[in-house]
Amino acid sequence: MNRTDRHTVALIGNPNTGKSSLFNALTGARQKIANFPGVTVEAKLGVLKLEHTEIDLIDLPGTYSLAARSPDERVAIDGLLGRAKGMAKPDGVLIVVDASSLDRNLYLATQVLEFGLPTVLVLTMVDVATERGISIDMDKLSAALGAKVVAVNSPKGENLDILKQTLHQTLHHPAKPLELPYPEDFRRGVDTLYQQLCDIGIKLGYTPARPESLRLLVDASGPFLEECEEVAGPEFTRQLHEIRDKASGGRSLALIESTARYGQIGQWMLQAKRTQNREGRTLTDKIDAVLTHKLWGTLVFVLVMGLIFQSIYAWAGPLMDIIDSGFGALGDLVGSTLADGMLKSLIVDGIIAGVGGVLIFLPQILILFLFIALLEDIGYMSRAAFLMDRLMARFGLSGRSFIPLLSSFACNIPGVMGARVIEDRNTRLTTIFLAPFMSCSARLPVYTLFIAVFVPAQKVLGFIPLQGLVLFAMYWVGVLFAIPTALVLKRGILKSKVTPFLMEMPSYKMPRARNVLRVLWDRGGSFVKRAGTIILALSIVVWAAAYFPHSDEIEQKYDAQLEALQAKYEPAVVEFEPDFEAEPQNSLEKIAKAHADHEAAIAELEEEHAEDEEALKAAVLEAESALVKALDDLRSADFETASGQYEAWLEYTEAASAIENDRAGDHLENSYLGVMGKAIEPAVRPLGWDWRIGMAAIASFPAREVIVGTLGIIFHLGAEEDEESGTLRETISNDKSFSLATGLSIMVFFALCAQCAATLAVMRRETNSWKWPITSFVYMTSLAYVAALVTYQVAHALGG
Amino acid sequence: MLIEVAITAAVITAAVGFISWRVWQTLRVSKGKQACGGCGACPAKTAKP
Repeated sequence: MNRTDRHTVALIGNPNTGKSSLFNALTGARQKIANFPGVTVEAKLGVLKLEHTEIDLIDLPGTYSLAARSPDERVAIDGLLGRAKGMAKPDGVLIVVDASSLDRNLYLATQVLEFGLPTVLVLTMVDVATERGISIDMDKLSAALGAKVVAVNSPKGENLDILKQTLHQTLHHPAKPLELPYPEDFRRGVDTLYQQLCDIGIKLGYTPARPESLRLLVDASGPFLEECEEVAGPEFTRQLHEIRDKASGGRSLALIESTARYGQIGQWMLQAKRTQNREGRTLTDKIDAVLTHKLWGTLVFVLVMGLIFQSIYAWAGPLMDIIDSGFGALGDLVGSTLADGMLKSLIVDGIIAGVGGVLIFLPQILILFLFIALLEDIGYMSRAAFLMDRLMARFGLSGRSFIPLLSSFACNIPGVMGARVIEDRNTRLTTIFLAPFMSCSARLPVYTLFIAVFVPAQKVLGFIPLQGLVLFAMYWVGVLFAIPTALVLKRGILKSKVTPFLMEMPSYKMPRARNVLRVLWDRGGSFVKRAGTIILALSIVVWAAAYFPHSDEIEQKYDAQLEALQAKYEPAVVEFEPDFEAEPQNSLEKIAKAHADHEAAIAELEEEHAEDEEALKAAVLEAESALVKALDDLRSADFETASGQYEAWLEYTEAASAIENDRAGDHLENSYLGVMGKAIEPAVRPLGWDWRIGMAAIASFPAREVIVGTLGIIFHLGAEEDEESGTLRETISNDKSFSLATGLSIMVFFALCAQCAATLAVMRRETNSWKWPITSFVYMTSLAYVAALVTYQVAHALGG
Repeated sequence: MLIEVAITAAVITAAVGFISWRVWQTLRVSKGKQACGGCGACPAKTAKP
């Protein structure tokens, strides 16, 4: 009979030992991997399929010990004990151990082995250990630990089959808890406390494990003690302290525990580990001497960041133009297929202008994440955290806050969630509060749109492109405002001591193409998905608000104006619709075609001689002579009449276009969006905004990128499309209500405003209170308003 | 004309419905009933086999 067994196995280890990489290799999942610690802050579930067996694999957050001081460490313990929400109690454990730091990694292993679960020790980074002259006798290590040991290389898929087989076998054999040589008083203290915990087990709703009593005895703090106090009252804590006093014998309990553990590890290492002394420094040491240097390291950091922002401009342009023309062609196709009316407007002005306007920024998002993925994979981010630690300590934060804040540059949500690795509550809350100040990727389209419009494509000092420099500066706006905010919080309501930051420096690695491509695929996919879901839905709603009520009165008013205009011209002029693709049939068509060809030639020349004014002038003069000659060649009996008709046609189309523009503008101003916009206009006027920008900013509160789509919709609806309508960038630069001061004011507002409902929701969950998200929203929005006001007024006064 | 109005109304209703659903999801996240905001701005938090 064929039966499928089902087991649950926990994957645990120190941070940055390659757990997520192993998890992905075993389960085929696509969890984010980076060459720095603290990436996994929640337990993740994946399925490993073996013959007749399915294993639910739980990837627990990386932790150095099971002392549950920070929330992510508690997640690790709960996962190990089967108390994590929706996860079964593990039948076995995979302990992931970095072979190049074996002694330190085994500290956690001794704690896990005390639980007595069937365990396999997985050695990773064996190649790095070998490079450092470390060799490990796995048989001896296995015999010493009483657990099987397998060395793997997850990225290359080496030994994964052996690991699967070993795990399969281990799960079917019972295991004994590891016994460490603790002093007698200490051991008695653990037993006594264990009895007390069992007594309150009914009230707790579960039977505590013996190693938990050891943890409670040593740590005497954390969420587990709070839970015990809650069910057993303060008497429990009083008794705990009595037991601690007896168990310690006047010494530090933490010291007793670590002495026993490291003593045992030392004995194991004598049996199983050999180290050859290698002369000189490793390549990683040599590179670190520069990259973590106070001066050179900081310089490299600034240069690397500068290069990223320059590349975003230098490389994205051609790709953006391709996407832009694609959406333009799609709009034309739909426009020519559907009859004029609300459905055509919904598709062309709402969906294509709204979603397309946002999607053209995909290349820039991909370039940003390409660099982030490369830097993460090389191992540079830990060095950046090291450099920032010194700076952050001045503002009362530790380097531990750096990784969450750095993650926030991609998206504020993982930044807020990543703050779980911070033990100190006040520092954690400060970090959560600061995360939305970091410029997430959703702000990138806003910056690049307005920079492309208002910042000239010039070079500073002859070689630094100004646009990239301004983009770099925009990313610093949030940081500059976060610093005083951190100072006020850490010296005021969230005062706490700066705890020392210990962070492992991973060795440098060549970036793995698969990892980098995975990041690009995930990030690019998320951006496209977001554009295709929430931004699409919001664009439709914004279009509806900007299109309706679409009153008949306005229609009739402009129809009458158009009729009056048509009456002024002869039918041949009004009905003339030149088709420049077809062969001209009469003099009027020939004259119109000659003019159209001339205009196309001028546009081409302008592009060709964009940087040489003299050459352009000469070329234009030549083209004009060619036009005169072409018109001379067309001279015939009816030439004068046809010329007159052509002039009249130009005049008529210009006037008709003005009427259509007025009609579109009038509809927009009288739409629901227009009426609301006019009502809020006095509040946004001081920022240099008109009602359209005000409404676009309000529509962006659920998600920032919506401003780009909303402006696209407003401009499409607010003006009749003609052959001169350009991209959103061109439309904004031609609009008189926008100036450099307005552009700067919008960018500063978006850099500082808390416009992301999902971030605020996660903030509520992480702090367990609405107080923090509401405070963050009110504070950041007020700050954004004031900063945008000052920016506009100053820039305006300076002539911007 | 009637079909045009019906299609437009259906699209707008679907968009409003989708936004309402997302608001509800976001509130569930805030109460801890869901792992991730699902804003789509970062890769999925729960790995699937």
